[in-house]
Amino acid sequence: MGRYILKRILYFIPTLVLISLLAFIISIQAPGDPVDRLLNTSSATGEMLVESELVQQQRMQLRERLGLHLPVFYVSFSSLSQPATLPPALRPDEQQAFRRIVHTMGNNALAGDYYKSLQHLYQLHQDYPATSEVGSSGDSLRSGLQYSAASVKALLQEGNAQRVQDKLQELQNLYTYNIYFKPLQDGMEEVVQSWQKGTTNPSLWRNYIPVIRWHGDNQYHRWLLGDGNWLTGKGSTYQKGWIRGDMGTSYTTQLPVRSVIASRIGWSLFFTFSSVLLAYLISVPIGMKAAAARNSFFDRSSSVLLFLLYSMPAFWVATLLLMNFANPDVIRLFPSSGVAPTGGIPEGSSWWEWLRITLPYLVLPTICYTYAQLAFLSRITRVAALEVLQQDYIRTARAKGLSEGKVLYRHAFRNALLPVITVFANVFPAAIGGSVILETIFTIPGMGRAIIEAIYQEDYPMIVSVFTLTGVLTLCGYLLADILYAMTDPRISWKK
Amino acid sequence: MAMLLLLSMQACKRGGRVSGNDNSHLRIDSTITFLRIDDADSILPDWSKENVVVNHIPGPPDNLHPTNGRLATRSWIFMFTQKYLMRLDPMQMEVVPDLAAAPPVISANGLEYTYTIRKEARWDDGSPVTAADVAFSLKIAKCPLTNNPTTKSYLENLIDVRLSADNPLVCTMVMKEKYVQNISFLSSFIILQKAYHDPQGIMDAVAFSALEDPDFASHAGADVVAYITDFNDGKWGNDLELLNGAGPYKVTSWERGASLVLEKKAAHWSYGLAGLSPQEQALPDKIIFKEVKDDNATILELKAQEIDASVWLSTQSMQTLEQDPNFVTNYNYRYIDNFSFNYLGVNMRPDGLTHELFFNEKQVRHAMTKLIPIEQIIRVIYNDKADRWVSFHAPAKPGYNDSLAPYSSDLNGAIALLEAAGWTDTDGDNIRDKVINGRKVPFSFELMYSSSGAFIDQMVEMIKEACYQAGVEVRLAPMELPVLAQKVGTHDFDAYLGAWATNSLPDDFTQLWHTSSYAEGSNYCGFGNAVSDSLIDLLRTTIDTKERIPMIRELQAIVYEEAPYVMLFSANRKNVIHKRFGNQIMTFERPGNLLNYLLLLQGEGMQEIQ
Repeated sequence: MGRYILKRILYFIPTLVLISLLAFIISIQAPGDPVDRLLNTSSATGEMLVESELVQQQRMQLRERLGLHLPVFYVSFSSLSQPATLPPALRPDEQQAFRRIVHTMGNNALAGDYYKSLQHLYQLHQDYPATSEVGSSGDSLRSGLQYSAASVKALLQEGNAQRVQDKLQELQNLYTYNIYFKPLQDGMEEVVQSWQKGTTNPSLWRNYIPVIRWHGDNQYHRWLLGDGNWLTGKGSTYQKGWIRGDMGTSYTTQLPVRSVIASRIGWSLFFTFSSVLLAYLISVPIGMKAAAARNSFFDRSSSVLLFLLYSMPAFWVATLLLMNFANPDVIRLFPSSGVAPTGGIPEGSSWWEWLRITLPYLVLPTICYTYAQLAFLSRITRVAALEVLQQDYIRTARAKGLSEGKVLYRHAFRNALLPVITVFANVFPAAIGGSVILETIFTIPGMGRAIIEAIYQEDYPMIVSVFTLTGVLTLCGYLLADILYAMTDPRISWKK
Repeated sequence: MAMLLLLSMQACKRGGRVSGNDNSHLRIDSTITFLRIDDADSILPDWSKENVVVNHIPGPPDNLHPTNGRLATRSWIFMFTQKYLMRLDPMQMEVVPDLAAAPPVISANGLEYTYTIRKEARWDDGSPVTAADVAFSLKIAKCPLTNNPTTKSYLENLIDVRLSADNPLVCTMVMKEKYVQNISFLSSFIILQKAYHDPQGIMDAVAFSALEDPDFASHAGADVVAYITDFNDGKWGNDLELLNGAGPYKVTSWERGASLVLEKKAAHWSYGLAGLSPQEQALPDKIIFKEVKDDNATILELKAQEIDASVWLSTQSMQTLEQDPNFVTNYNYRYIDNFSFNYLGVNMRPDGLTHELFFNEKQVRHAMTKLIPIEQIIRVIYNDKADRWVSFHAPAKPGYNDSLAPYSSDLNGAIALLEAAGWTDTDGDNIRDKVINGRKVPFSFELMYSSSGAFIDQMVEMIKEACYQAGVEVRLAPMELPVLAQKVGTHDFDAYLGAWATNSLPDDFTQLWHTSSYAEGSNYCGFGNAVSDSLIDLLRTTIDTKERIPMIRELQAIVYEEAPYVMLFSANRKNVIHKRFGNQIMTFERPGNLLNYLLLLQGEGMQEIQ
């Protein structure tokens, strides 16, 4: 059995690598700059704020710390002209533009010079004497200056050669005809010269020489294995790696993602497992009985009822239950939100008291978690049992004079379990994902709400970790299902 | 039925008093700064007798770290668990002393502010709050390695905090320049206990001047770097055992996604002090912040009286509850103005390459003000529970320019302006066009907006429809907020929908309207001219309100004339408080109520209706 499990785990490794790659791709493709999110500088709150030099300094440190200047993956396919790594000072949109400029010039070093000259020119704008000291030069200077500074910044993000050319021409004209731009002219000249140097005789042939580069230290490597020794993890400074349980830090809570998940997964696991247990307890007997009495009134009526339930959306049923059974205007049998009284359960309560206090909070959510699974499970059980009930050994058992109950549950049930086990494999990923809708409606502090909060706050480490963990748990579910198959059905061998 | 007791008049410079039965919309203006609601005249039998306020919140605070956080709920909790040197008084809408004994003594040059800390202020271990605590708090907040960029900018002007050699309760803050926010910035920084957060005095070795070093990380000692790294750790904002504050409440329980419980400390230096303001009192035994996200569940919680206070109801929920006689019996509720507004911003300085020259002309911008169906949006989407602002400056703040007329929908007027600007429909496709630099350009602009905003889809459709009637095509571009922020910040837009949350404190208009904020700042639209810059520069250093008012009015007039924004609306805050509590204060300023001042009605003379 151990060998079988080991073999299955080995089969899972390529899938796990694929899942981790997908998760990583999602994380690097996520909109916005991760540094912005970590710095909390997004305008999510709509507050007015200034990005000071202190903040810019912090931005640089974080970019290096997160390794955002590194190549994305172990292997890169690019041209001879493209650099192996990009300057860490550039933001993602500027990095993209930089690559296009390199392509235009066919030379990484010359493109680098052009970018340095742009950054220098932008700095000259910042150092320009306060506009109020220029005298009554008026609006034209002010709007000219602000337009010029914004244009230089736009050039840092512009990769289209024609647009760069047009913009440079426009700025040159602006600087030539306005004496107040004199302090900026040298800087502008430097930009134009570096642009012309790179574009006059571009080494375009370098764009067509393919280069395969190997990057031992890359963003994926750090994300997966950390920035220390890849095997032992020793010597890591910032990231220990996902494989060692370091899922990163939540942008919102500033806590390790794994501790956020640990604090929220309890209720999701509870509702998922309790609802699955309930669903099995209800639907398996229904399915077996429906199979035994095929086309009977019970078979048909249970089918209609269960499919009716199946067709009702969870949010609608949840709201309906709340509005009818937790509504003082109708009948308030159950509380309308949460999983415990607002003040918490009194300290020192016995488990019985805990259950008595908590149970009313659990009834409506459990119903909502459970009802939709009934139809599916009972129909699967019914179909599997129908097939089994036509087997010879069942006929033999009946011929021996065994009661219908014994025939059904002692002889037929075990062999009808296989499809039911398959469904069980999905319990684990469902638990990690929680139910966003039900947890929101019933205010359950579970994973579903944690995920939706993470999405609202663009907390990508959290989102990506849940995605990866869901993949891992799906594989674990399949492994468990495989083991249960073999345990249930002797025809499935461990050796296969 | 017993009649009312507890009729305490609220002494205030400005204020409002409205009968408990009058649930009309309270409008913001210059004569009223808060609302005091009469206490109930009787107690109903089903009202809870517990001196516990359950306050509704839709989501948890991000964390409770002393410096590193950004969500409003965090600041709200700090109002009860922490103390500031100076704080924003939401009732009077001004900065008042909190730990400071009095407003600061300001030097003749306006650059040095000397504060004396009230002598009775104590930490939980009984040690006094000292000037060293203040200096440490500001130093760690300003440190480049501390992860608090959202508030760091407020400390740009602070260059030193000097401690008095004679009095441990006195410190002097030295500022770079005379500035309108040289006192109010302190309302953003809680005071930390130095002996608790830095018992080894590691930050003592760091001078304030060193914090200006652009390469602080390299020059700071390893012990400082290690200390700040630990200080930034999330545990200081999540582990309840580590939370420490000088406020009268402490966090005793926090389950994310469910509730956060504040309990009144058994002993606190403020108990028994005479002359405490409402914001300094601690009347409820517990304040529970209860999370309920779903609208229907919130309605049921209120119907079942499980929630005592809320400022987070949707207009629809509030209007549903208003129809319920039990709710009306049990709760006081108001629609109250606040300091946030929504607007449509246009690119005044398009480059003509990536963005066409649509809104560079004033006439076209004015046409937009006549086209956007503001009144219809307020009526249809907000059921008239939103207000129109003529300018970016809140009507309740000194200097609101009430001589400006609200933009009015005027299709013909808009068409005339567009025609005058050269935008005509030359090809009969119902989209206006114009030849710019020898190229025919159709008036088809992109409107960017955050896809996660409430009712945003209906709103943009209404805008699109209204513009189409004038031959202007609006291409809707929903996107995630970080992408929108990035594009708007780099002026990569034709037009966008945005919102600002402001407060009642004196403004520095540099960030939003100065031309220097175009390249790096929030002047996204490209507004500004010599006159407006001069006004803004002058306003930065003018402290006296009387002197500021004419300048603020003039700045509003210039912005109104230039029309970089089409001011849309300011949605009303829906404020609900259970009648089992007296001392009900509702404020325009955030958070909207004073939970710590709510008094459980159970005194003598109060009868229970059987």
